[in-house]
This record gives sequence, C-alpha cells and structure tokens, in this order.
Amino acid sequence: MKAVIALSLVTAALAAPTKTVESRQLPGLGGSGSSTGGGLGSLASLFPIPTTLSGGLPGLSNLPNLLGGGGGGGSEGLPELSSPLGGGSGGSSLSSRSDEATKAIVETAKRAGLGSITENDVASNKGCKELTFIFARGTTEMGNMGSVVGPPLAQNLNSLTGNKVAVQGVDYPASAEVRLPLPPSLISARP
Amino acid sequence: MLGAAGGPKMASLVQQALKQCPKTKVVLGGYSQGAMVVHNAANKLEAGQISGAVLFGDPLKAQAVGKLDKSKTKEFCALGDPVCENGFNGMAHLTYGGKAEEAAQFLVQAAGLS
Repeated sequence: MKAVIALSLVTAALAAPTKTVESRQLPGLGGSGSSTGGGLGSLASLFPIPTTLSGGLPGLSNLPNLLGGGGGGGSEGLPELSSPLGGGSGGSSLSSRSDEATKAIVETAKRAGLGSITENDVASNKGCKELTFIFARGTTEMGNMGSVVGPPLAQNLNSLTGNKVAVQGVDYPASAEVRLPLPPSLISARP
Repeated sequence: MLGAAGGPKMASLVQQALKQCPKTKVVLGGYSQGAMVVHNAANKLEAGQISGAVLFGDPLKAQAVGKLDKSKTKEFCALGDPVCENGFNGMAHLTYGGKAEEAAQFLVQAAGLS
C-alpha cells in the first residue's frame, strides 16, 4: 500500500515537468503513446540513450520522429521522412524509396545502439528468434517499451546474442491511477 | 488496481509467442507498474512457459513470479527507491537504465542461451 502511494507521489512529481526539462524534450518523443501525460517520458532526455538521438549524426536529425512514431497501439508504420536522404526526384518511385530510406535509418539506429520505444515483433509475427523478450513499461512511459529500461535492455539482449531476440512491449495504459478518496478498507489497512 | 490492466495482455503475448515460435525461449521484464504487470501475467501462465524474468523498482518485490523458480528471476531495487523499498529518494526509481547490461546477461543465462 505504501508502495502504491509512493509510486503515485513519484509519478505526480514527475508529471509536472519543469521548464528546464520541457526545453530539453526531444522532438518526436513527445508524441502520443498509449501512456497518459508526459511526466516520465519527458524525463527521457535525462538518460544516456535518448539524449544521443539528437546528437551529431549527419542526416539523422529526423531519427527521433521515426523512433517515436509507433505510438502505443502497435506501430502504424513510420511517419514519412522529410528527406534527410534527399528525395527531390520523381513521383511514383518516391514512396518506395522513402520506405527503403526509412528502413535504412531504423537499422542504423539499431546498430548505433538506440532502442525503439515501440516494439511489436510478437504481435506482428515478425519471425522466430531464439529468445523472445516481452516487456511492460512503467507508469506514464511512452510507446509500449518506455524509454528508461525497456529499449536499453532490448539492445543489450540483442548485442549479447548477436541479434537473436524478438522484442515485444505490452500495450497497456500504464496510467497513474490513484483514485481519491481512498476506499475505507485501504485506509484502515495502513501498516 | 495498478498493473491489473496489463497482466492478461502480457500473458496472451507469451502464449502467442510460444504458439508462433514453439522453440523460442520467452523472458519477461517489467519496470515499476510494469513489474506488477509481470507478476500478474505470470500468475496466469503455466510452469515452463517463461524462462526468466527481471523486475525493476518492483512494488511486489517479495512475491514470486508465478511458478518461475527464484533462481530465474532477478529483482533490481535501487537504494532509497520508495517504490520497491522503504526509501525516500524518488529519483532512485529512475536509475534502472544503468542496469540494462546486467539484466540482459541474467536473462541470457536464465534462458540457457549463453
């Protein structure tokens, strides 16, 4: 019980982002996910892996948008690239070229060790791997993997096994729900 | 109750994974409320369906993970974390990204892949 109250207090504190944190919020990671609010998500910028997303990799400035594009309800496909890889040419071939470009960027991100906040290898029946990693994120975390633990853990599993891991996040609300007033039975059960 | 929404969902993902890929080893992870989801899911699963589990900042740290043997589960609870122990340092609850490598090594071993 104490843990539940503590969890909700921590969450409430985190859900009130300071100006400093807001200004560090990465583009794309602030998008909608299956979580409510951006409390913990906006603090993602404090952690090693997300902060490297907007680092100095040329042509990859759109990366955060790609990684944040899945949302909570399973990935709806990656958002259209606004051409870090060029693409001023042609009409009909552009979408297939941008699909290829999208895949290339996501693969580069994976090789650079940047895990995605949304993974659906099981739901999409992507292909059998020796290991299947299913992860449930924390309160208010974004995507279905969150950003604090899920993606780095998935990345580590892949590098330890030589990419033999299917990764799946659990799509659930992860909301900070403490219904007040507390029901009498919980109040009287206080240790 | 926190975590209740995800339990059935996680359990069904485990079952789906095993149905689609009968030879795969399934391992679970959960952070904070997600750790409660793992406990909830594991209680719905049969022995042998999960090969290992790692929990971070787990409010239900003292509980077993379904029928999974204790040697196949690892709890990460940072010093001072009020969510998994009686600490007063809320920020401690945010440090688990640094445990990713250790947790991955544990899971790979638990699943017998190393």
